[in-house]
Amino acid sequence: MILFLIELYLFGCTLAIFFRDKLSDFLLSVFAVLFGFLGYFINVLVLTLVGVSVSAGLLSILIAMEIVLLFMLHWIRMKALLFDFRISNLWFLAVGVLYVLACWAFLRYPFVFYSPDSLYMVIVGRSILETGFSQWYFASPLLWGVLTPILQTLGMLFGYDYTWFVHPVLSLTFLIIFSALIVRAAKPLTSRKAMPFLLAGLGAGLMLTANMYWVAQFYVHNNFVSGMSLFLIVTSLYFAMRGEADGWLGIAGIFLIPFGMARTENVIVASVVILLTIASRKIAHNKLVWTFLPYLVFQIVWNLVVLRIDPVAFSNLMTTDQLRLVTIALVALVGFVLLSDLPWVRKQVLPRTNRLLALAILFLFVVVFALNPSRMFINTWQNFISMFATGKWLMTFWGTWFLMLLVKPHERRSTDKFFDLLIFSFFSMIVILGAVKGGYHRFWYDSANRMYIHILPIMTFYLMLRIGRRFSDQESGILTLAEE
Amino acid sequence: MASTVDQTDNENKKRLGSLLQGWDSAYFVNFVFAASFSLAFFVRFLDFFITPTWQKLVVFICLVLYFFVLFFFFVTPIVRYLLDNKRKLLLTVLIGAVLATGILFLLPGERVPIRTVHTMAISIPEGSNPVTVSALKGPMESIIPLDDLETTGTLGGESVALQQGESLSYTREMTGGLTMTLSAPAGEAQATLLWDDQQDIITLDGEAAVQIQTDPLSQGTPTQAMRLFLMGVRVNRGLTLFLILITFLGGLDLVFHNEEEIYQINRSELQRYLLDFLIVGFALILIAFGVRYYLPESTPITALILLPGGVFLFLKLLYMFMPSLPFILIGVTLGVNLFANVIWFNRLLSVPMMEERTFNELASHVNPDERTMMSVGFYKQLRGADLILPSGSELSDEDYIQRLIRINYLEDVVLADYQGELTAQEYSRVMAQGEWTQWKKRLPGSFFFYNAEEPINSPIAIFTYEDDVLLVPTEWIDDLGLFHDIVSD
Repeated sequence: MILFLIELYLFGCTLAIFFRDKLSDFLLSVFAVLFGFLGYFINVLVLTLVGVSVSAGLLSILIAMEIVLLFMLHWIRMKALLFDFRISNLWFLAVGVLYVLACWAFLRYPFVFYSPDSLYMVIVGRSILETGFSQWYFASPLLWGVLTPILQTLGMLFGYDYTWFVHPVLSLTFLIIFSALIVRAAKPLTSRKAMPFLLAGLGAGLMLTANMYWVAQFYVHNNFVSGMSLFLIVTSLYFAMRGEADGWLGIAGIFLIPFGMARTENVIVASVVILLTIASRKIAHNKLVWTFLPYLVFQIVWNLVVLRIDPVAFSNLMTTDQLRLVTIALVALVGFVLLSDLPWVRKQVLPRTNRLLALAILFLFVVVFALNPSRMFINTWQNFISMFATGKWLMTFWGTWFLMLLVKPHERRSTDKFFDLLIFSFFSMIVILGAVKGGYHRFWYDSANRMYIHILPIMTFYLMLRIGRRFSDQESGILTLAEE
Repeated sequence: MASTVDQTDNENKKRLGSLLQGWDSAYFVNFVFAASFSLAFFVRFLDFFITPTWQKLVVFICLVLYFFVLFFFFVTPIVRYLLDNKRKLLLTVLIGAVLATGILFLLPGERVPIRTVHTMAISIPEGSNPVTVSALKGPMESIIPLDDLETTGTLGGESVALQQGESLSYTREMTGGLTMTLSAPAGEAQATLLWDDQQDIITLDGEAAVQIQTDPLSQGTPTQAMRLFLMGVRVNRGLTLFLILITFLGGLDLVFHNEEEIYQINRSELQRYLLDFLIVGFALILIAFGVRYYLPESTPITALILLPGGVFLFLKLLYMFMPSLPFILIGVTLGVNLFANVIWFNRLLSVPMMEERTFNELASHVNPDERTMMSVGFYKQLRGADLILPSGSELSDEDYIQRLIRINYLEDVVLADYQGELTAQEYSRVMAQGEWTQWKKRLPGSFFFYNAEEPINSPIAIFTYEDDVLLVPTEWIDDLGLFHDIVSD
């Protein structure tokens, strides 16, 4: 088992080295852990789709071949230079050792958080191993995607009943990346060396001390992986918009896939992120196409697969008609991505996209409230109650919202608009989905309450950035120049 | 760049400082308007009379704060215009408003649930069968102990039995009405219900119990202070109407008829600075109103809804003079979170360690109900199956069946008349067959499935023995020696 997990890390490293000339070795070595699990997910997904029965042996061989293939590709790309050794490459070794230790520890000490949904996801994972995509019990990819069930199969391949160790390993990795990205984002703002680290520590503390976030790290569900992927997408796009290396766009493009595969509603948020990025007009059109098109095509194909596999199950709150609608919207989005470079679109549409998006959301709000005001109000009220009182978030959202309202940068940048609209759209989506999916309630396991996990890291990151900017010694001015 | 930042901060500080300077009668009128409007709004929309006293104070302060800031920016220009140019108009409307308010007093008072002394009495007329009074509850569903009643009837455990000529009475200061259940176990009966000054005759048919709700809007016998307060509320309503009217007319006059002056928001720079407070405050008032409107039965927590708006304004002002406030707030948040984790550890979610690492153990920890537990254990066999349950057993409960149908997409559930409970000998004999897959129940006992690894083509019959539940595909019933004609058929 551990050997297989090491193999996954090696796969992640071979993928990460493609970004070597663009991102730091430290970050890439941590990303490699996530790439490894992502590689596992894609391999199992593709094998199952083509009807091949998945086994540990087959996957080991396949992933080994992919590692060799990726190395060869890298070798060709680097013009026969296999590995340009730098001292910073030792990060790969250090993170690898930490990763193996974490895997070993969490394998040995199985800390798990659970709910009935967890049971259903484990069963979906088992069904995927036994019957591919033909049988669904209790749950199906129509609502909960396939990311968590496929990650569940990892332990099953080695004889375990379910997989408890992947989530904590992912959350530990995420925590390191989260802190590192805050430090990276805040560093250009100040010459005070301790400030970025202080912000990273406070940001991580805000999340970790919330009871709900803490347990989510061990929870067999799709919320944590959704939150992690969304955070990586949004922050990568933020760094790309700030004018940093194009490698960030690659990272965003990669993590869009697990995000879209984790839950069906995630596709809506992913679409909003894509729209907002295009609307920012900070990234060249050809780069946008290369970043977003692979994901959009992947998602459309996957949605068509789900529509074909009769995804009827007990816990489905979505219907196939709704999925069809989402798929049509995705096709339209592909068109928008492709056409966004037309002069008319550039001149007339893109400058107004943010405003149009906000108006569209407000319009939807008005419509759903007008159709059923009582239900919509009660739903929204339950959302508030769970966020601020009963959802086990303790003071985290109180502190975060107060600070978000209080701490305003002196000058507004386009990336502020990106974050503001994203956060607004996210919470609006939760409320609007309530009109489609059914009523929310105030208990911690309410789907809206769990979905707050998706946005909290982004809110915290953005908040720390705003605080950092308030304390910036603008003489350094690096960020301002790069952004404006 | 740094000087620009400092300059902005200083300008904001100056603007805030200017809030305290140059006070004139327009601001005083605004304050009166805000207080009057807040009280009227509170009484009309936010369930003033059922709100606990300390909350009343908090809600009122928050509303006054919000409306004063709002009027400061948007109403001041109108009030100042009227005070400077339209004193006669102001006087005319004032006299008109006083007269209108006087007329309002002649009309019947608004019926609102006020805190007052209510009296309830039930008596049974001669010739009627006995009547039982039970489930006596006060406002907000609070249980009233029967010992608090004055009665000549007979007190039972949770009810009072009243024979003909007997009576019961209850007097208390409260906000709202009472609910109770009346029944006549011995046949048709009558009861006379007196609620404050209103009398009703209730006829009971001797079969179904009748739930009675007394009028929560009855005025009862209010205290002197409450009477004065009610009068004050009515006067205030008149005052609010006058102020709204004069502001509206003055605004129209200023905007449409005055060519010398134009409408300009008072201290527009400061208004931009406080715009977020105005938006947040508006949203909170809207939410508080929505809660009372859509969830009228819920406990009033209007103060808790509005208070964050006031706190936000306070923090916003504090932040101007204390740039390190964000760090303090994060520190407070982290401190409270950590403290809560320590003192509420048993009320918070925890992450346990799994000993066995089996799926059954995980399911036991999840603690679903027994139907879900059984479904999760034997999902492959149960999906789309026909299920046979012994009629009359606990398992044949309608809720139980419906859940099983929904979760497993069961084809059909048949309640059959067979002996579902096995004897000790039968149980030992069938268990000795050895092909059983065990799945531990949430409660004591286990579910057992016979030949679980083999595909099944027959309905599944359920047998029980003490806490154990056995799921037996009917094709194997004979093999197990469980001969039951009805099930086999």
